[in-house]
Amino acid sequence: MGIDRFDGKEIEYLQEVLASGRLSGGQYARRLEEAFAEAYGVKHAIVANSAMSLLISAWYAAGAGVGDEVICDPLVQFHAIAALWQNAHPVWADVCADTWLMDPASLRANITPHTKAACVTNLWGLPAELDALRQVADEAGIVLIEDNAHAMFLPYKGKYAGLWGHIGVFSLCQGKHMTTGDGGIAVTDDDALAEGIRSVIGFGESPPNLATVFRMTDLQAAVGLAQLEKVRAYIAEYQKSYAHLAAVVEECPWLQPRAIREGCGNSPYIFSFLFRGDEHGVDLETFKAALFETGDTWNVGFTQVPAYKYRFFQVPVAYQSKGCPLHGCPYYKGSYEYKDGLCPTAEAILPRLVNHNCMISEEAAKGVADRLRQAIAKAEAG
Amino acid sequence: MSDLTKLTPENSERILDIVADLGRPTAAQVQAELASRYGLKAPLEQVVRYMEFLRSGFPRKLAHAGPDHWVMVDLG
Repeated sequence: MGIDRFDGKEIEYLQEVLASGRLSGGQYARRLEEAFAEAYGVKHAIVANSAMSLLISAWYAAGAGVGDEVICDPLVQFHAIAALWQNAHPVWADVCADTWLMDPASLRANITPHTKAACVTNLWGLPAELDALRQVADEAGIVLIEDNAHAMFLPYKGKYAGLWGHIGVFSLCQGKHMTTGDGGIAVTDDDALAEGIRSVIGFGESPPNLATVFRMTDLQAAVGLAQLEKVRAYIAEYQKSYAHLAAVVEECPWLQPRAIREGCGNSPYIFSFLFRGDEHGVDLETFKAALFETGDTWNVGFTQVPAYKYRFFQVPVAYQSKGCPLHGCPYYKGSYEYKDGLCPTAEAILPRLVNHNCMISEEAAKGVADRLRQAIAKAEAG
Repeated sequence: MSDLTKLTPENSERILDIVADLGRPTAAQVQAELASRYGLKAPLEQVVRYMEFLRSGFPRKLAHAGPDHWVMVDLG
């Protein structure tokens, strides 16, 4: 259903790495960094073995640590888990009801004297209001990190997502726009932030601070370099696929399309819309069964609940169940409490989300779209 | 061969129970367990697609736990 993703120079570059005798610490990781920095027009691109490693390192570079609050959006958990690795305390900003992306007003409302940084997720290939979020961050004097795991080469108001925040983090894991199996790239124009990230991922003898092995191998980087040469062509194909799926949702009065606001590009990753059938006499379970019978891989309800309701945030199971950083941490002087209703928009949206992979060929998307139309008709018939 | 191309409460509960019992199984282990417990012999591809859809469940749902491994999560 997808596109053949490894039909380029992957083998040629991998053979060069093998011939060099250096599988790590060689030329290819640096070459990928240089090529990515050039493609993005950014001063620093830093590769690592995963986007999670880079989020952990980005929080460190941003100065977030024990006792500090960091602000996250609640539809996913990756940034918040990374914050726990720095012993920082995630706080949750709600999302907008039409885009399902971080609401700048909620970011502002959650900033306290304990806040060190925030991380916005440009979820499923659409950008949040990055200019407004950056303005809020700058006014508060905090670092804004963008999680762009789903947002490769995503334009927003004249420049790419990833360049609006102080740091942008991209994922190269198996299911992403371009892949190295696992892997990630961070971008920043800030020398100090770049050095902070590199200081965590570049483990060596007598490290100056708490560092570990988050390096990307040259084998991975060779694949990444080949992928980078063609990822924008893939994204152009996925945009055609997105249009076929979006047209079906636009036709249906009881499905709410996801808003793409003025100035926002689209780097399709997951196609998503909202079920509102109960307001029109259509039953969700009937629609779910009809979607299942299409034979396509639809998901209804995503994670069902916001990330802050996950067990490891609700009960003290991190750090050998000794409480830090969320439950009775002696260094935390804030008053934030984990409870239901922290992000009412996210809580209302999540069970109604309907998702399908959008990184599929245009031909495949036409088939998915036709079968979605049939599922809609079947659900309406009851 | 049995048919897992339709969603039924009975089969959903069976799969959720199996994953809960096995802890962190692969889809192939779930397929084998469906056959041994219930005589339900379905192609692996159907089992995987059914399990993917159970990620949408509530209050009990499935979740990915690393490549080709699954866990049951109870959000109740």
